[in-house]
Amino acid sequence: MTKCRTYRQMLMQRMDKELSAGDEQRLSAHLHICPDCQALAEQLDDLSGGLRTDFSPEPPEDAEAKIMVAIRGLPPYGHKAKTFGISLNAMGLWSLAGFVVMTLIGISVSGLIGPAFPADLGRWVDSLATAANGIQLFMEIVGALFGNLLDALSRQLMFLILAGAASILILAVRSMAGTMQTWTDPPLG
Amino acid sequence: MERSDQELIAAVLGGNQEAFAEIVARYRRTIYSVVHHMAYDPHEANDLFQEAFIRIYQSLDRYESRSKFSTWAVRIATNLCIDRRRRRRDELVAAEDFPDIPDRSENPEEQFINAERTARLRQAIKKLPDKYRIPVILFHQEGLAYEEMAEVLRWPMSMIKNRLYRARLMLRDTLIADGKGESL
Repeated sequence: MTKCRTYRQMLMQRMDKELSAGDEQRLSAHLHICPDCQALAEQLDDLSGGLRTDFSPEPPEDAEAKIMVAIRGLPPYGHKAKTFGISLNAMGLWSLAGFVVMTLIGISVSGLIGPAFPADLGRWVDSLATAANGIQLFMEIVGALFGNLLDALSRQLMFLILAGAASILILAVRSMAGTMQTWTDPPLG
Repeated sequence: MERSDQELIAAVLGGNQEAFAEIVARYRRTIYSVVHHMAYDPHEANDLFQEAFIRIYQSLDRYESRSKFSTWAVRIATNLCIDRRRRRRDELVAAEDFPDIPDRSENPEEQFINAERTARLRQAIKKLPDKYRIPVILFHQEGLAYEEMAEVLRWPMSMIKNRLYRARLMLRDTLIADGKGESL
């Protein structure tokens, strides 16, 4: 039986056209004396013939046209991932640069070493307004340098949102720092 | 002069979408064969056929030329079909819904016998579980080598061989049971 298992493995290898000439001879000799393996060999030969038949139908005639309609609806390569005429990567870098600049402006105008929040809220608001004007001016320049009005507007909007986010972040940090200071200050007197 | 796969891919990646039509024309039979054997009905096969090519297009910039383009495309189509089948719990076999394949032999009697045998074999393949059916399709219908199948399926070679061997024996058993002793 173990012997038959070896020969059945060889039958599979024969189907794969991976049987060596020596094994082919050994298999042939075995098939002459083993009716079970002989029957399996015939069945596998039949199956092999059937599997060689290409029974895949042709794709529908209009399939290729439909695929191309769908493909034309997709962005072509080379123009992929572009917004307002600039790539998303460039936009990401601009955003990062803007965020850093606005954070620095926010830190300087809010006076990290200046008046404590919220004691001098009026000065904070003034500082932020000044910063916003500065941002607008900066963006006007960026817009003029890098494209049409729409681009400029989109960038301005983006940077103003970032500037707002940066200012809120600074306020939150300041507020937290104030709270922490309250916790750590030694009692007076 | 016919452009190579690499040239066509470069053209598509350069923004020429129309070059993709040539890729579709070149591999439509291969991809349709894969989806046809793995779909539940002709409608789904057509759907998968279109989706496979869309995925191929969308992934084209990730194709690495160290593997054959056909192997890579078959992998995308196979994975798509496997994903789709996983989502569908219903395992009903609907092989009879597929149109019959016109027989190319000339003798009417031979035509009849071949058509019947092909139909039985097709149904038997449809009845195989995915893990056995897919190697049968890729090896016997698409003519992929074991190495290519290992690349497509990401299965170890020994597993592919074992499953293919097992699938053949299952097909033989099914055909014998269906034919009640007739010749395969």
